[in-house]
This record gives sequence, C-alpha cells and structure tokens, in this order.
Amino acid sequence: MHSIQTYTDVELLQQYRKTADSQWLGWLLERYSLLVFGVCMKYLRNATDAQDATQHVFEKALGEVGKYEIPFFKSWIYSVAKNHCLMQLRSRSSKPGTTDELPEETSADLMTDQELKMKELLMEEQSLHLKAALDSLSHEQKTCVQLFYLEKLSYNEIETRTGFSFSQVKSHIQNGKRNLRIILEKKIREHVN
Amino acid sequence: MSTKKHHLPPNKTLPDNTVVLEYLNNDLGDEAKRQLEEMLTDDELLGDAMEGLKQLKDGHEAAIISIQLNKMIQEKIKKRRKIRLTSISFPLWIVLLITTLLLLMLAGYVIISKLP
Repeated sequence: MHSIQTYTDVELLQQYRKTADSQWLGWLLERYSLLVFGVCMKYLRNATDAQDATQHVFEKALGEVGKYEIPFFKSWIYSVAKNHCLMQLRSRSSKPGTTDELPEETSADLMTDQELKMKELLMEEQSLHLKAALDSLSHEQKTCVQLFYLEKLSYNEIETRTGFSFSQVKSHIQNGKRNLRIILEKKIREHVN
Repeated sequence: MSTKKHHLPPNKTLPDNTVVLEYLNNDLGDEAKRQLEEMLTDDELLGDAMEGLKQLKDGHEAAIISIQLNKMIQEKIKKRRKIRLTSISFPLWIVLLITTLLLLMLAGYVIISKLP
C-alpha cells in the first residue's frame, strides 16, 4: 500500500478519474493548500482575504478538475490562484476610494527559466563572459546573485547582510538570473556569429 | 553546521507543507534549507507562496491556517462524497420499491386467480 505522499499529482488525478472518489482530489488539494494560500497572500496582503481566495480556488478546482484533462496540475492551480487574486485586485482598484495597487510582478513575464542550469553557468564563473555579465547587472541583483550562488548564503543571511526584505532578495536573485541568462545568450550568439 | 532535522526527499518538485512550515520557523537543517531556497528561486508557485507566507507573523500562524484550510478541504470532500452516495443510492431505492410493488401485485394476482 502506497502512502499518499508517494503519489505524484498525475497519479492522484488518475485515481480520482478511475474511482470518481473525491478523496483523491482532496489529498491533491491538501498538498497545495499552504502554497496556494501563500500565493493569495502575496497578492492580497491580507490573511482573511487570502483564505477566502484559497477557498474560491479550491471550489473551482473541485468543480473543474473532473471536466477536462489537466496535464500539469501545479501550473494550473497556480494560474487559477494568481488570476483570481489579480481579478480581486482589479475589482478593488476599480471601486472608488480604494487604493490597492497591483504588485510589480503581476504577469507571467518572469522566469520561464526553470530549465536554466544556473549551477552550470556559475561553475564557469572564471569565464570573462560571466564576469562581464555579472558586472552588467544592477548592483542589487549582482550582490544577491553572488551571495546566493557563489557564497552560498541563505535568504535570511542575505537579508541580514544587505538589509533587503525577503521578497526583495527573491526578486533580485530571480531577475538577476534571468538577466544573466539573456546577457550570456546574447554573448554566445555574438561569439558564434 | 546545523544539527536541525529533515532533508527534502530527492526528486520532489515541491516540498511538503511540513517542510514549508519548518522553513518559516527557521527550523530546517542547512542542507534542506539551501535546497528549498534554490527551489523557490526557480519555481514561480513556490517563490510567490513563500513571499506571501513571509508576510505572516511566523510559522505558527501559517500552521494554524494550514490546519484550517485542510479542514475546509476535507469538509468539502465529505459533502461531495455524501452527495455522490445519495445519488447512487436513490435509484437503488427506486428499484427496490418497484420490485416490492411488482411482487405484491403478482402475489395479489395469484391469490385472486385461485379464488373460486
């Protein structure tokens, strides 16, 4: 007998389709409960609103998961949660007297770079290309990327050392990585041509 | 080197809720913490979630919310299963009723036909 933790998302969904027993879906949703809440919290910045939003996301999941094939549940639930929160923020900001603003990183514009082999790139740190690329990052991004990947500091340690908040550290590392990739790809293309 | 517990299981695309809570409580071992932070840097969902969860007072508040959310999920699931069971048992009840009525009618016919 498998423990539920050993099932992948796809296997839990398969079991749900096979047995039509909602408990399988429940176990899948429990796996994402805290993370979906965290996403809602990031956008709505209020625990009660975030809990309500999470509940809405799960209701939607319960209603829709059986209707069609969802190959990547993680991406699906993330986009449902994010879109719901953005709609909430838009409806709030369209009401007179409200001042809520959309967070800076609201669209799916960041990081399609999971495939990025950061470690491999940083192993070539000696290369002039990388050094030049690092130098062309903003001071904040360069500092955070170096502290996280080269000095192997934790987020907490980087926060202490730089005075940045958790979300600033995260943002500088992510954006720094993305910019590094863009710069390096450009340099490689120039080198090849 | 920290002596704190837990390592992330290998090849996992997302950490369990317990690991996330331990991270928020600064209760995760160095290696697992590093692994989680690399994961959250690469993963949009995890990165956004951590950013949001960091806005809470501490891991304890997150743990309470996690329990509430899981309870809410289980209540919804229970309700759905109950509805499903009811919808399954309804036709069975109808079938039993019709069968009983047919048997009574048959018995009545047999009795009446045997009357002189």
